[in-house]
Amino acid sequence: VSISPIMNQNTFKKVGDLILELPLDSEFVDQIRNIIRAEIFIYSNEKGIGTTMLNENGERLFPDIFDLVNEGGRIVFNNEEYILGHFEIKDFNDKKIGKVIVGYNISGILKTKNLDVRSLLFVFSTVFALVIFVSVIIGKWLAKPLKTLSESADSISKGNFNVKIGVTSKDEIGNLTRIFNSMAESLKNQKKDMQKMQLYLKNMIDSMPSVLIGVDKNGKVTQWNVEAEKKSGIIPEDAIGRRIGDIFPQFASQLEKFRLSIKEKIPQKMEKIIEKIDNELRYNDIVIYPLISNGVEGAVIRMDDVTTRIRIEDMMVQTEKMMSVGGLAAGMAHEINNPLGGILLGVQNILRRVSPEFKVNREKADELGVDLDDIFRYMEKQKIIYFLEVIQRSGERASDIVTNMLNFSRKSEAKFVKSDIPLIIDKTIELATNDYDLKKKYDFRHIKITKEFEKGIPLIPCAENELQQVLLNLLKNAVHAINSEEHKSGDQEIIIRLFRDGRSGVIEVEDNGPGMDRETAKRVFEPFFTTKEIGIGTGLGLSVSYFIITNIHHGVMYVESTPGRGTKFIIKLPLKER
Amino acid sequence: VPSAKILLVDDEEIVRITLEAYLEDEGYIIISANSGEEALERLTGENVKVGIIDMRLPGIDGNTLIAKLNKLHPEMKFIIHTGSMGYALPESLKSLGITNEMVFKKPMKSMSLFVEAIKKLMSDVK
Repeated sequence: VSISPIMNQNTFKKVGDLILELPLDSEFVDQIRNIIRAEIFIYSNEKGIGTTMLNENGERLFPDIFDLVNEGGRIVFNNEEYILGHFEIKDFNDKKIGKVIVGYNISGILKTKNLDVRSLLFVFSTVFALVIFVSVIIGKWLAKPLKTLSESADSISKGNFNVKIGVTSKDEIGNLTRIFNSMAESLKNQKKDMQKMQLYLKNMIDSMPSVLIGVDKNGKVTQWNVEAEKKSGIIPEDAIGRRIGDIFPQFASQLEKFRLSIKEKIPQKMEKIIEKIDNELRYNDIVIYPLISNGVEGAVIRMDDVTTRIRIEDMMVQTEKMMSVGGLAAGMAHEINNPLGGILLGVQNILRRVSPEFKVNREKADELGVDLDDIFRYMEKQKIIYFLEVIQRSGERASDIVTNMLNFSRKSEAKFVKSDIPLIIDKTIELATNDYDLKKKYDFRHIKITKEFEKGIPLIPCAENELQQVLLNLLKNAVHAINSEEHKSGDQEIIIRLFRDGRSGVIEVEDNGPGMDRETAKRVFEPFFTTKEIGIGTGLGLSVSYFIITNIHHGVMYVESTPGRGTKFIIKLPLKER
Repeated sequence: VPSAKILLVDDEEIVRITLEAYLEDEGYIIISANSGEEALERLTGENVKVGIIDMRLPGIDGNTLIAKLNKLHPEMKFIIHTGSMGYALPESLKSLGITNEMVFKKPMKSMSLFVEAIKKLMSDVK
């Protein structure tokens, strides 16, 4: 029997055996006897397995001749004398596993002639020839095809599926060979399918937007997908076998959870794990899925960067907050406008009625017998006129605030025009550099304003005045930021970018000022939130800007800021009007 | 036009008093009312050229009042003085010939434009 193991080339697990069976039994030797007219005995080790000899009862006879096989040994069975010759049966490792003994009946020779040297020579040479003949036959029938089969099976088990055995005979071995060939063919196809499947699975895992890492029970990496490579900058070949905590330090503190998860076979979820990349905080959700099939200990780690989602959530909370403020403001504004009207109209009346320039005033003063010029001089001297003007300006300012707050809820009737954004930006820069309040305080020659405009930006529908108001506000904020106490001495730079991103035109206003922490950045769009000293700004600029962009333009506005590095406001305007 | 009459309707006393004073200084005679109903009552037998009407009023609102006044005094012109920032002229008022230049929003920061508008309307009245 020839047995050759069939291995799965990838798992190196044995999946089956190729078994070739050629019974070296009495029926087999009978066939040879029919050709050579000599008795044949086959022994496996010392046990007889095939014989051509029959006893008186016609039963197969295994004479005890295993040891009597020196060439030319003579022996008598059933009153007949035989000369014995033999050859060894060896396995493919050249190990002796049995013997084939050929017995040549010399009784006839002995009866007819005296044994002379010539007849002895004849007998020996006959036996010798017979032995060789038998060995050749067996070799042909058994050893050769077996060896070929074995070598081929070996080759297949090493993964070479292109083996084929030439079909040389039409007997059972030939048949077997054909079966073998078709088996090799099907194995080859299976392997192809498996490779295809493997590639498909790898492709799937690599296509996932998540970091997917396989680890064994000791936390050593066994699988490493493309995202993991991108995130860590480490290629799979370098990652596999290393401890996960060494590659991703944020896992180091979670190792206990890994062990627990693998031991209990319960997935573990960790949310918003903070990681610092280049001074920027990023948030990751991590889930550990223990492998549940028996006999495999380990886990799959999924890691998702949820920074964008968290920022959007923040923004949504922000929007909701602002909308409720908008509603409140609208209701409040109506109530405030009437008393404000009283103040503003009242002041205008007073200023006019004390003015000596009006004829009516003089007439009324004359009626009472007082000198209007004296009254006016007194009021000027006592700063009463000035106070009245202060009341007027304060009222006007309050009125502006109310108007701005009303913008929160108002769907503006602002006129939408397809506009040349670079032109609007240029005009706004011009406005900012000529802004009286800014000019008074800051020297624009020290501020480097860089424009990075993408070419071929289409005209974008927008309410020009409102957009200009937003940009002016952002520029002013940037100028304030780079002139703040913490930053005054450094290089002052403002970068204004304009580029296209899908269906949006994006405007970025970035300064290299002191930046903001996350808590501050979260609140910048809130009405009345201001970090400037009291008196500078109303705390409404950014909230109004926010509403102009989101409400009127159906755009998006958000801020990115890193303490110590600067702040960037991003505006996205839809390229097509809704 | 000296001693031309102006109707002023506003439910807020301080608005009435301050506007009244300013317009009196301009030489007009003011008939003021704090509601549409009062305005209609006080206007009987009067020859009023211009009405300054607040929109949000107790009782009948400014739109209705203007419609009624227009029926009673077809030659009368109107100025709208409102605290609603998002106010837009309804078609019914536009059809009476009222334009956006005749809409003033509270609080009025400068009276000069307002007075100019009144003068323009006065000169239109035959």
